[in-house]
Amino acid sequence: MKRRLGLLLALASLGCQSNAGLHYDNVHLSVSDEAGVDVSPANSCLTLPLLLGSQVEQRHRIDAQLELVLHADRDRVLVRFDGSGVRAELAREQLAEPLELDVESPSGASYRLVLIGGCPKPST
Amino acid sequence: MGVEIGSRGVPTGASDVEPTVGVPTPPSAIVGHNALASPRIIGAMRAGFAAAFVLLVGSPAHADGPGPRRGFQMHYGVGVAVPAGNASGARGDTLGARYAWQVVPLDLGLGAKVSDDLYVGGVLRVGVGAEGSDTRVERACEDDDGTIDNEIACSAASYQVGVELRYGLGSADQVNPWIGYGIAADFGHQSIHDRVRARRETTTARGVEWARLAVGLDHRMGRVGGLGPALAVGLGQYTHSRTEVNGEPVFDGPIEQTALHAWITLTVRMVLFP
Repeated sequence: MKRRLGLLLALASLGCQSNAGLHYDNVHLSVSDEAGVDVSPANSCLTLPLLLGSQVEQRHRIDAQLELVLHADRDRVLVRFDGSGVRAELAREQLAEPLELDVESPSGASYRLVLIGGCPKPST
Repeated sequence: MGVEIGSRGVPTGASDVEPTVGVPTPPSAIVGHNALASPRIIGAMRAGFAAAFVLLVGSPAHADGPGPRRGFQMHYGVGVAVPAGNASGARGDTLGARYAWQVVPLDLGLGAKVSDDLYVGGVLRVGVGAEGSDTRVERACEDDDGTIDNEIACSAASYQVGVELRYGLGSADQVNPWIGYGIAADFGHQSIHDRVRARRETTTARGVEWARLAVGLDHRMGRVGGLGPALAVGLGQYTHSRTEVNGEPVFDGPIEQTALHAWITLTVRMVLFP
């Protein structure tokens, strides 16, 4: 009887082991104008996908003539601007280092973009 | 220096030549006014025409076979599918890295024998399996935390919907070897569900299976049922991809670097009205 109880307790304790789930790589995007005012988009966090072949794309309008496109697969993040020829790529291993880009909109306004690994909360 | 017609005792009338039943008689054999048309040559020509007729029109029914059949035909098959080639041109993105070998629980074909030898029909194939050999995904999908619950669920599937042609080499016989060609819409699907973080990521690649080359052997049990193995190599290319996270699309667009892949499938087919 004691052995059975012990076995049950052992099984129950196994069942109670905590599991944090999978690890996800995130990148956080912030954009500021030439005056240093934060003009970051509302959803400024992107989670890199896990599966081979998965892709994620976000589009953010910075101003009337400039759109930012963030495109990621599980190994890299690509940044490009529709309305400007600026583009950059950040490998997954480089996410700890911030990527800074200065871009000028066709409207004449200048912006600074900073992309860095990690977000307050994972989201898509 | 002309050739003297009929001077060498050659039969000169059509009535002199006995035509073989069911084999068209060549005009030269009927006329028989050529000096070269000796009975031996005429016989050889008849044999040649008979062989050409058989090759062009088809072989006569074997006495021991159930005979050819036309009209509605369907098949249901089960088997296994092995991935080969590349899912895309990206580094390391092989089909086998995305998808493991799959069980094919459904290989369904509906169509018709439009002639004694030719079948035309639609086909639906479904394959299901586990994640492929990619180490990062394999590691993520392993349930090695010692708990009873499976917190991470991974799955993969493939689908093809298309048309196929099959040509029977022994359509009248009891054992009918056949060759086939098919073209289909081609889908590859993979999923990872992190139950702890309540995150489900799915990606579906779609494209075209340009050529499904197949060989098989149907053992015809009468004219109603048949059974036999089939081996197929489906050569395809994924051109579009769609990724969803928790059911919300996060990407739907073209694959930048496409590549050729293949599903090598071995099935056992049951055929209705073979």
